[in-house]
Amino acid sequence: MEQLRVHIKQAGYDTSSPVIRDIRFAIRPGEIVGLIGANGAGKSTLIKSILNVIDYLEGDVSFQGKQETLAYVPEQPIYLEDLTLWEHLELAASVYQLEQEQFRQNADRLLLLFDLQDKKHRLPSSFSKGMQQKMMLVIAFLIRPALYVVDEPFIGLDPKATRILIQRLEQERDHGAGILLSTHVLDTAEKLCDRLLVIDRGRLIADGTLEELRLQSGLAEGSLTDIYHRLLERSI
Amino acid sequence: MMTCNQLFIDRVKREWRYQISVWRTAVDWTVALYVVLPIVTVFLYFYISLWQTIPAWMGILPADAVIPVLLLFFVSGNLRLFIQEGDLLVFLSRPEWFSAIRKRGLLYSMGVHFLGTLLFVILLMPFLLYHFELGPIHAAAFIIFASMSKFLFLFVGEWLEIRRYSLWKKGPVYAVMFAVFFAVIHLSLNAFVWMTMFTLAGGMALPGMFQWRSHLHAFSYDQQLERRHRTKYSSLILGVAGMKTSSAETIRKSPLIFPKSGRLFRNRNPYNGLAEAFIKSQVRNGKKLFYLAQILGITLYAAIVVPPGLTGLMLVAGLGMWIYMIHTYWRSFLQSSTIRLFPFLPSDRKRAWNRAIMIATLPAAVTLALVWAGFIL
Repeated sequence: MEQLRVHIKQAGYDTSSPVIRDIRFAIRPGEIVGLIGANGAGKSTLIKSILNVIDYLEGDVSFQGKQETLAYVPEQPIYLEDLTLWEHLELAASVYQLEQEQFRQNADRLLLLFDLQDKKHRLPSSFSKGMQQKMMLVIAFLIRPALYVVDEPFIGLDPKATRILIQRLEQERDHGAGILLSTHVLDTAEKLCDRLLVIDRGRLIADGTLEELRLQSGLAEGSLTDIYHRLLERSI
Repeated sequence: MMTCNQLFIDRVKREWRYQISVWRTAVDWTVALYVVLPIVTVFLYFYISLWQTIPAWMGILPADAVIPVLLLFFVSGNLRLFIQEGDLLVFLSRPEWFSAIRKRGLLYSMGVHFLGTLLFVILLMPFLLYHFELGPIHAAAFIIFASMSKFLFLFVGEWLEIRRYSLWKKGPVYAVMFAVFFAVIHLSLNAFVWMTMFTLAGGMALPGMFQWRSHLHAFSYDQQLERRHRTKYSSLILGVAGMKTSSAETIRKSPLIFPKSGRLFRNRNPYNGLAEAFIKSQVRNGKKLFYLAQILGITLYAAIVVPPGLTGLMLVAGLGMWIYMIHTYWRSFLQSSTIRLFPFLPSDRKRAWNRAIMIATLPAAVTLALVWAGFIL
């Protein structure tokens, strides 16, 4: 059974110039899939296609359950300027109808984990980018969806928060969640991801485990960074 | 190599292009043809008729009814400095350009506001001529006086912005200014000598204010204010047209209202959550509250000055305007990226709107109903 199935013929911002083409992959429950590619390769367009907020999409994106069980953590934190951190969590709890006591316990635990406990009644606009990013992660982990789409989560996070994030993602995977993780931090992706998607100039040029990518690139002992560069060279 | 003048002219050109593009986005040709053009035509016809025959309603209105209108005009608008974020890099080698650009920006803003004041006073002229029997020199001098007053309000507004005064602190300052200028305008319209004295006094204060602002080294504020002022009206225009714009940066750490994130509704469900988030977003936003307060103020003012038979109509129209504004904010709220992150069902949105509009309209409805009751009794 697949958590997410993507079969995109083409997608973009207008029909005349699609940004991504012929992309097929699936994410199974209990799997972290890394999405890697250069700036402008089409990662964000692919994520927008999955979230169904793209202007033009020819193809199909299907979810195992309802799409409501998806949490998206964007690269640039987004928030309502006049709501406090806690009110953002309350909003999420309202939408997903979380039970009151359980919500409070989980929310407090997550805030403590990400060092945001004393900021809960503050407006996120007064936070640093890293703290805003943590807020987005807390909202996502609070919902505990079946599928996470996480876009470049490590940029702006301090080392402690990065470690906590990695642990949480692994825990969620172990609990059966599917995770699509777009990142440029290849060292972390190599250690964390079960499978990797390499996208270049709008096309999927590789899809497999690290071992499969090593075979595909001909670098039997290569790191993900080496493999990535080799795959890009070949695709030119 | 680009000179300071060329840089400034280039920025002004870009500014005009930007504002025109905003208008074009909000007012396409169908809106222009079927809405804007008929309104402008009717207005021009109405205005020309004022010069030909004095309507009866003008005689009913008290002469001083024009003063609050002038005060509202004076307090609107802002000075533009045309300082941008990237200037820090360029101007480090030419620090004298900071004040040079500011001076040009201030002069340009004052020029634009002078033209605006000229137009506004010309619009009010039938009323002024009828009630105050201004002679040609008195009428021409009034344009200078009104421009001077507008500049003073703009510089005071700039001073309040730089001191980062909240709306609650700005209010008393403006209340005092309104009271003083009410008397000043009343005297000036009734006696040429008073107008001359006040204009001269304002004219003496103005160079000092100009020097203060053009030499004030506040780069961070300058570019923040510039960004806010640049998008002030475009955000409103696009908002009314149902388009989302990013709002200016917020520097508050905690909200004044519901500082401990207290809940509005006991039951937690998607529509209560959405309605609560909307209401809190509105009551904590000083700018939006100020717009709503303006609607309420103008409605109350209109209800007081119109003939008694029209009071009810004014109050209902004001309430309609209030609801329209809330609906504009609601549409903008729903289009925000954060709200779009959550999977609200259309039925949730509808129920949330029903709750939100009821609560958001209550203050205006109660105030206007009390005023109406006062008139009836």
